[in-house]
Amino acid sequence: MKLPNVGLFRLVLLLAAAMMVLAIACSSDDDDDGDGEPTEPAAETEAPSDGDDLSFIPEDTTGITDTEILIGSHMPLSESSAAIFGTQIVPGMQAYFAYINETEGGVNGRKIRLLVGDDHYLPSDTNTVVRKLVEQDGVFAIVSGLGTAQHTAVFEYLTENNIPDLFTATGATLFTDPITRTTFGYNPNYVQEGNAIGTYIAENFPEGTRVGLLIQNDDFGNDGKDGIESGLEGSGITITTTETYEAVNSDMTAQVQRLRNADVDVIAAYTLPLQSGSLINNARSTLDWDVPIIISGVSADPITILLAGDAGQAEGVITTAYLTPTSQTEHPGIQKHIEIMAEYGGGADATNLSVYGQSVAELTVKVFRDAGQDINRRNVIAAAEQVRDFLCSVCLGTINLSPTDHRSIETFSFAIAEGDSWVLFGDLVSYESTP
Amino acid sequence: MIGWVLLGLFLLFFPYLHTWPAASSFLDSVDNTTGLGIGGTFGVFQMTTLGVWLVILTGLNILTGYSGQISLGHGAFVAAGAYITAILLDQTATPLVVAILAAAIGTAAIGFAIGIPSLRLTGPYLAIATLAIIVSMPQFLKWDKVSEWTKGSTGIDLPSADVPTFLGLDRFMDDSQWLYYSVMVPAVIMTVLAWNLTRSRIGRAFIALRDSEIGAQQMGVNVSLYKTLAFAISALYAGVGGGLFAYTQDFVSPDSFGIFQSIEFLVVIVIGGLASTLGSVLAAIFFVYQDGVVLRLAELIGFPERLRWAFFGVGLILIMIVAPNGVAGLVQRLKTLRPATVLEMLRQARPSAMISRLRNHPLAERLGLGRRDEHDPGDEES
Repeated sequence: MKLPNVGLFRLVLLLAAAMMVLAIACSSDDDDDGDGEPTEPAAETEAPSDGDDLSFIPEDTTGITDTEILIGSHMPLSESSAAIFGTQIVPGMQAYFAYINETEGGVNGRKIRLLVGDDHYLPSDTNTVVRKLVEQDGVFAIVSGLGTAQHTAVFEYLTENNIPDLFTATGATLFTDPITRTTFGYNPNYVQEGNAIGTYIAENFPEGTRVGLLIQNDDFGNDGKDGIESGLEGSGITITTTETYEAVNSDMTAQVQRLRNADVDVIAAYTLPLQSGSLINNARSTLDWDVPIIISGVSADPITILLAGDAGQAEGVITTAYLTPTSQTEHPGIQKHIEIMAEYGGGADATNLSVYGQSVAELTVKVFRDAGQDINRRNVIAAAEQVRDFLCSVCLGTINLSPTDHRSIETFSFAIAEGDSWVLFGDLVSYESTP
Repeated sequence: MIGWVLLGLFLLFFPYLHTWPAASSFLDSVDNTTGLGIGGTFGVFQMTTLGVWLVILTGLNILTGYSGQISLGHGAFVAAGAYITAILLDQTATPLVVAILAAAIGTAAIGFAIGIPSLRLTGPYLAIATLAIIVSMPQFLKWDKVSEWTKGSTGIDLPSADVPTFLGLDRFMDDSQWLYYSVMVPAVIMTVLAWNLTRSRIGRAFIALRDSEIGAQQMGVNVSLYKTLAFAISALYAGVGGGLFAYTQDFVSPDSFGIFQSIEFLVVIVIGGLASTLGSVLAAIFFVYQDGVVLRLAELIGFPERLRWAFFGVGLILIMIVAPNGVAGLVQRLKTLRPATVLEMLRQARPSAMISRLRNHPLAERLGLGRRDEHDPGDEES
């Protein structure tokens, strides 16, 4: 009796399949009574996307109790090189929430509890962990979901179910343009940043300068390229060469060699820290080439300088920053951050990314506080849209949001590599679109 | 027989289980203790994804378990199926069923084409060649010439699946329940078909090929035909699975299918059981539910969740030793421990006989752990 009867088995399963079809057609009697789907009370209401009327968002209090506000996030924490982000941002957020819970008793008497789903930077896993957070854990809102493709996978789901989707950790334009009332971006978008870099080149280099680009072959790189092109417009400076790479590839030797062969005068790069380090190291050390290099703020981390090689090879490389770097130890916000991390960080270090985590947490606390004692999904969106001139303890510029502007950080500064850290210089560049 | 009927009924009514208060609270309590994730709407979604992975893993098991060819890049076939479906749904008004059929045929053709060079490559060489496919896949999808359809690195965002209004279907089920049936019906059919296939002439030819290529040739098996056929059938499954993936996730991007995931496919079918339909089912269950369970375990015994792959590795080594045929093989072995045998052993009050019974499997013997000298009542295999 090792094998069951094949014919019989086939029949039973066919029967089961037939029953399924039947059940689809006539299961009215046994499930019409099981009416209330607890998780999507107003999924059918279509969201109007203009005007000030937020009445399409139910005044849902899922995740809110008398003592707690439960929120969720999706971050890569393992199985991907992007885990470098999640494993530093999450401690920064958790530490700040713990600090607020401990010293102020939370927000309006409710402690904030953050659950983080590890999506391994895989969009299909993002879908699973976010549904789990929403449907099983019953979170009130998703905060700081990280990754463009990853967040795209759940964007529509969150929108349709009117779940506040606060301060996504990506600079992609597609979440904030056009405006979706329940979704707010956080990072300055790459087009704006690219525009600032392009403008910087136009102002600081003579006409006829040959610009070489090194960009990641995805939205991050392409948005940056679009921005740089717009910044250079009308300056007489043009991009003469564009080199690309895939995110899985970290060795930029070939790309740098080709940029050298193309004889460019300045390199602008939309690269992640690993590739930025390789770019600088190859140009300076392998090719002994002192070409000016400007990299995206995504790489504005001490690790980039470390990867660029030990002999101060990154010296003079320019980038953008929108938060105070941890190297500015005399800055009161950074001092406080280091204190908070030491006390509530659970052993994690204070890094530029934990600073990022705290800055998002500060904005979240501000919005929850403004939503008031009767916090619900509708008034939290209203509160977020009313944020004006909010300066977090580690931010460079203020955050302004409105019904027509869901981009949080739109102000940044340039920074230059000095020693083993990035030092801010020059005036703040602002693209603020809330009047 | 009763078991199959119960399984059928369970699959049939599962999406409505959580709307019944008593069952719902039971499912929730199971979730709270084990971290499985079977209750509520989320439980329905998990079961839906289980259906998707079941199709994909069944296909991989035909290739690797039955015909013995290792593919480290199976995710590329899934991506092909997902993209064909997504492009058809996105750019044209193709009905879902047609789109998935097109994905099945298209992916099978790709699988057949890739199967041809695989004739010259065996073992590690084939594994590396298939690895190359999954590595180059994202670049191909982002290529300027095709990005008009694939939408480049942005990926294709489809509208989320809604219950169709015809026949008043939307009165009986919500979107998640509709999604469940649209995945589970093809998944069950595909699994039964695979089960039949592996017991047919083709399946036996695959097994013959796996065990000895020369021997199979001697017996008149057309080696090149069956090797490429295994690739094509496996790719067809991946195509259907990919189509269902696109429909349930309503989003595909080049980042959706990682190398790591393709390796994970192989790991789980080894754990589930190679060359076994039950093995594929167990593999899919493992693939979907292990995340939540490991997380819960991590909470209970306090090891960091980041050690998930260490857990995987240890589990894999243990399975190799205890159950070389995967969990499905272990189940088969345990079945030979019939009540009468166990009673006989208990009567003789010799628990060692029972242990030697489990130890005396092929690998244990090879490792010198077996006790062949000891009398083992009711032993008819070793």
